[in-house]
Amino acid sequence: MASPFRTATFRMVALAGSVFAVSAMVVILVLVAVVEKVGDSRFDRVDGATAAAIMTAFDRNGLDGLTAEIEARSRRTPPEIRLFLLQDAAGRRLAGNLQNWPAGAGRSRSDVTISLDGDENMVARVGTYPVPGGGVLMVGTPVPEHRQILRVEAKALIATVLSMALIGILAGVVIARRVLGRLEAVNRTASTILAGNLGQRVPQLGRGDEFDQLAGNINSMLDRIESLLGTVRSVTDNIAHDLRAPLNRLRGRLELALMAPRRPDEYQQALAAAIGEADDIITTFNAMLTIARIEGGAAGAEFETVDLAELVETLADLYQPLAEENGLSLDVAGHSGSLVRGDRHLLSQAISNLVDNAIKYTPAGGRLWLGVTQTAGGVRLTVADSGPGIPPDLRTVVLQPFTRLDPARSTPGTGLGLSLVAAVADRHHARLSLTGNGPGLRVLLEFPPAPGISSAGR
Amino acid sequence: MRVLLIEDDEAAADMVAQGLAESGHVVSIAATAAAGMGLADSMAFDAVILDRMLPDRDGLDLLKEFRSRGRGTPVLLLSALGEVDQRVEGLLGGADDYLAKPFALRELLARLEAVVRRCDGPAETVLRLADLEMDLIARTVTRSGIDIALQPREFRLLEFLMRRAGQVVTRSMLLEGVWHYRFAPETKVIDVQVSRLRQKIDRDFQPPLIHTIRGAGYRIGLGG
Repeated sequence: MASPFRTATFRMVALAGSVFAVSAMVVILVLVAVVEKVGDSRFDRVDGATAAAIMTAFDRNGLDGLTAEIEARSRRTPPEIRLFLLQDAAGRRLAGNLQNWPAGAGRSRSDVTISLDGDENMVARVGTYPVPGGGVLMVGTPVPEHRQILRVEAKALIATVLSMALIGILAGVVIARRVLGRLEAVNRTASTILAGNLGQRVPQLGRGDEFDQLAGNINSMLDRIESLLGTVRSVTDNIAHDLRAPLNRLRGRLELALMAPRRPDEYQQALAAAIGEADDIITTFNAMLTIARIEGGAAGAEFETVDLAELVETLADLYQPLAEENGLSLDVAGHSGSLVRGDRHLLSQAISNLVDNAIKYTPAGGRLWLGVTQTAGGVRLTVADSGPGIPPDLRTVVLQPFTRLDPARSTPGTGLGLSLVAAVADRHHARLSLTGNGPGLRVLLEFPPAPGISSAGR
Repeated sequence: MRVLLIEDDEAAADMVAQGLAESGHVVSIAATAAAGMGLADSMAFDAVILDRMLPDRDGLDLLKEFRSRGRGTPVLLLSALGEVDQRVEGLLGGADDYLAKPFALRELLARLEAVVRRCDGPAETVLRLADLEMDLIARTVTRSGIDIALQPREFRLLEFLMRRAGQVVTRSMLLEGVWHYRFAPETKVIDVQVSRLRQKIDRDFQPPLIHTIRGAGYRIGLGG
């Protein structure tokens, strides 16, 4: 099994975990900063108000009054609660609960470190306020404990987030291992198939999850490939048979012509017969290529809107004299405006194959029908004859390539006519069915309604 | 006429060249697109037969370059790719006709003749051949002054033949030109159509005008 760290699942879990961890840390840091800022501004307001209150003593009694006020407050309030310090213009201490001016105390509010008695240090947030006449008053508040607690908490939160990310990564490894296990099963099957065993199938656990669906789809795909390969194999066998016979005849004719000296007209006759054989081979080849092209082509690439009734009308025009020549009547009935989406050439080829067959197999005096009708489900094309028909059990067999019901294969034709019709029908999503015509054969081609075109009869 | 044959398959080229020579044409063969272009630049040809699959480039590319240089010489495109869209591609690329391999030599000769003649056929409204006269506007046909009643399909068939009087027209050319179908019917539909027409045109008159050319198709004209 491949390393779980290199799987897509692991990478996705790791990415999600990292994104979560980083964003959680950012949120925590922003939160801490905001809470600190709110706290600080509150202290700043209180200190400002206190300073203003103290300064009223100066307004009433001057610098002496101010000194007395601060001394009074310093007695009441220890430095752990609030800090006061007053110095004169010369920088001499006048009053307050601090002995020395802390380093770093400036005009704007800032954090300074204050050393109290007994080497105890304390962080405080202080501000200075000018006294008229040149002195300076400093008022400050020790940084409260909760602000420190907040920082400790933030550290703990970040540690938590990091451990969660770690757990996420571990979970990723576990999930990746599980996914990998399921995918491995698919990969193993694929490798076996590549090695040539097309009968293998991907195991399904019956949970109905995505992996089961994937396995199901792969298995249906394999079924389809297997059945197509089976068709190809039987077609190849038939091709070999159906081409070997005429090639053999062609060779025989040519050989025979060379066996003894002959008159020019005899040579001509032999060569013409050879061309006839070659033409049959070419016809078979072309029919095969056409079927292969229809089956393998991108469906709908050259589709246009085709009026089947019009198509049948012109085909009847083409075939009418031949039918009469064979002593057959050919009736045509079509609703004009029977529109389908399709390839005009392929459709006419398919219909002409059906008419060819009907003419070939129906004895003189018989009848042929060509019809196009609009049904609720779309457009239905009918080619029917009064000939011998096809027994019900052979009606699907005749759609296979190279099937001819005439065992002597004396009727001209490639044996591919109906296969081509089936391929054309398939390409057009039309349903091809062969039924009896009591007596005779009725071939139905039912086309689905063409999307986007109205095929209402007029 | 002078024909330029651009085809890399030597055996196929020899076969086509011999067929063309025996029909009285002068053939120059080029095995590559580059050689073909060189020959086309150095002398004038009446027609070009161009194979699509050439060793040095796609024949269709060559055709497009040929046309973009303003050359109007009729081109018959040959290809092993018999697909409908390939054919359309070829015609859009400037080919005058398209023939898929394997083809009958007579088919090639007939189509070559057709593309060369097509280029200089004036739009006439009355077609005449000996005592046969066809008025395309009035939709009437007379022979020796006697009216011949033709069905619409017979009229179209005769018009197609008359416009190519003296040329061999193959069954697939008729199916394509008169009925606009491109497929090979397994039955003798075309032969029956022509024999119907022949009865009306030739049965009561002399000499016969519609001739069957063995192994190729039909020709309308005087003399066998």
